[in-house]
Amino acid sequence: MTIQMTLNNKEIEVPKGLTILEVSRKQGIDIPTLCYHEALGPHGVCRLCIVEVGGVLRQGIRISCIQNVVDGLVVNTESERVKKNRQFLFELLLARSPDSKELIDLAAKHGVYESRFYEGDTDDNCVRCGLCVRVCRDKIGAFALCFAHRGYERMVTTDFESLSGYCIGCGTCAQICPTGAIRMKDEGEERIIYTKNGVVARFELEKCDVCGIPYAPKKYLNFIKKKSDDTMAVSVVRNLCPGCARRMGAINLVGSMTL
Amino acid sequence: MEKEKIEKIVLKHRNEKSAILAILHEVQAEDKQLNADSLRYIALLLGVPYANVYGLATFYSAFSSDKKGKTLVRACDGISCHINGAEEIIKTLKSRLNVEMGKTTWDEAFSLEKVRCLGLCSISPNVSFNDRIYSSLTKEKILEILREMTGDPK
Repeated sequence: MTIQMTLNNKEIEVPKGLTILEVSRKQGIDIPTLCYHEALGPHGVCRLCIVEVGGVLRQGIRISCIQNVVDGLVVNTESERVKKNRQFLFELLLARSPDSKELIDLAAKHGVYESRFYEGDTDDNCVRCGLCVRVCRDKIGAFALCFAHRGYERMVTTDFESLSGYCIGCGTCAQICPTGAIRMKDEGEERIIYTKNGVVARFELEKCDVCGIPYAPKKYLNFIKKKSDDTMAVSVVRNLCPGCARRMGAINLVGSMTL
Repeated sequence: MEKEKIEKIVLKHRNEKSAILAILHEVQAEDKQLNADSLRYIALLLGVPYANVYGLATFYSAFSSDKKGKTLVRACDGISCHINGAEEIIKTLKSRLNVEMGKTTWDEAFSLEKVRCLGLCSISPNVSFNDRIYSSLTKEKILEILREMTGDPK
């Protein structure tokens, strides 16, 4: 099933069931997003992906990550109205997170260099997009992060705002964070996950069986082992760092081929 | 709160995860607070991650981690109450109970809170004492109510 739609004055034919954002990205049109991630799907909180729709839908601004394409839809991703609205959104986000390099760069790309609303008492770079909370809960299944409090005080935190017993130290939250509010670093034999407010979790790193380089927290390895045992019926028996694992894999493969 | 009491409340709701809000309400009503230990124990009993319970308990203003007084005084300062003289009522409450907004009296008898609306705008200003709401208040009326509540003839 395909449908006809107009995207930035260009007639295109696209499969049914996609969102405007997905179609636009396939067509090579850049729409800024913070809260969207392919692995997690749409959430609709950052509002940066707004586009102007018309045709069969009522003329107006919609968020493209949630709006599905329909037959006869007319979309404009770069109209004056969209630009104006998006710049306003950037100003609001910058007021909340003025120190985030990623956000400043993204805003500059869309012509916003400073915010009218900046008050100078912001505490972190977090834009409350919810990616870290969702990935920890839905994809990893560790349930270490949550949103606490409400309204302006809403914040991403661990349970009881202390070192989390649930965190496995995988670092997915730090990796997925679009503004760099959560960060992770491996210092010697210790992994620290931290935000501007303080340390979220601290782990001792396990050493690789072959090369002896510390590479991952024990809790994380146990978590993976349990998951792979449960789902794949394959047990990971050796503690190998990514480099050694690749090498061992290659040796095993070549060995089995020559034999 | 004691573990046995929490167990009793959770068991009353048949260990249902979906009843978590009702459980939190009951623990809060009994203990006048939801401290970290109670929340942890509720989470353990229900098999819910700590983070979820913490998120819930901090989201709703009905729950508080600070110890509340025996009587929760909620003074409405919504638009209707405000223009009908809520400010005067709140001032009276503060001075008479000798407590700041959002705080509890020294003897843990009263907690004073400001709320946005109690849903009785037509007979404003309103103040609720626990579950009972007093309406069309004036300075004299609130003093009379407080006299009754505290048993202090002042």
